[in-house]
Amino acid sequence: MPSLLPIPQLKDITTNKLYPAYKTVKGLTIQLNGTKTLLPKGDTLSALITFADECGLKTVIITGGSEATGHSKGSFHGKGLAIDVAGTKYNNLTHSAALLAAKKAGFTHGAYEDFTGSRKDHWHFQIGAGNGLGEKHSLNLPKLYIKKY
Amino acid sequence: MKAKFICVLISLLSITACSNCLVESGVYASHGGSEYSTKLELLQDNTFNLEYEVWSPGKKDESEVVTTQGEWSCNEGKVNLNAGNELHSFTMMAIGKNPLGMRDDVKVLHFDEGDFDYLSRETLYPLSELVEE
Repeated sequence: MPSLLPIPQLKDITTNKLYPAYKTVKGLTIQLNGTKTLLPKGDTLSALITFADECGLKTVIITGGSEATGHSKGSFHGKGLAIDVAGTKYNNLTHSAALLAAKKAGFTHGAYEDFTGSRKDHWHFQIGAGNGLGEKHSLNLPKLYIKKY
Repeated sequence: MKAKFICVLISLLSITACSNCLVESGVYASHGGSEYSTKLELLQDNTFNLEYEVWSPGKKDESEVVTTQGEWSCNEGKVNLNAGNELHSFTMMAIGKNPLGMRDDVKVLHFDEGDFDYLSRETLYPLSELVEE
């Protein structure tokens, strides 16, 4: 469904081509973890900007966006409906703060993938159920679903 | 005498060609933070092992793993991976200022667009830099 909302503007503030970065109108920074991670478009971009503005950090590191390659078949990333947010090692966020910001932003389902002893931890948020995320991953639940490995 | 000179010349040229490669063998991997990971092992005999793992959110225990072997060739910081019908190239470069908390001088592999979709625009890091303190 095409977005009826105006797409909020982002200012490109990239200083190292390997790590694109953008500033929101409210002055918060969306920092990508590399050139493979692509900014989503339309409603998902609006949701990402709202997440950045609402999560309470000056800079939020994003590790997944609308990239069509690299993800599983049926991934909501390829559909442009999901983001990955770098975990607590990089973003000083609590699960409750991340959940609240994601809900406000319009994401409906999500999970935290917790890889002890690595840098792989991340929050995955998407718009709509599917590709493995169902009722127990709904952001309407009081606590975020955390998967420990 | 002339033959000896040519022999020495060829030896010198081959040494120069070998030393033209600035990329070290070793194991490199993607940074993480999403539902996939990539690991590339560059071996000293100029063969490589590539492992790509992908999963749905929260289901890494059901991941799909794709492995590929081939040969790599190198000219200065530019490397070509050749796995028969599939080709992909990358450049080794110093990472510079980065949001991942790594030293600016860490040498990473940055991939161009190529035949391995999942490698396009990817950056792989020395595995030793990804181990959590």
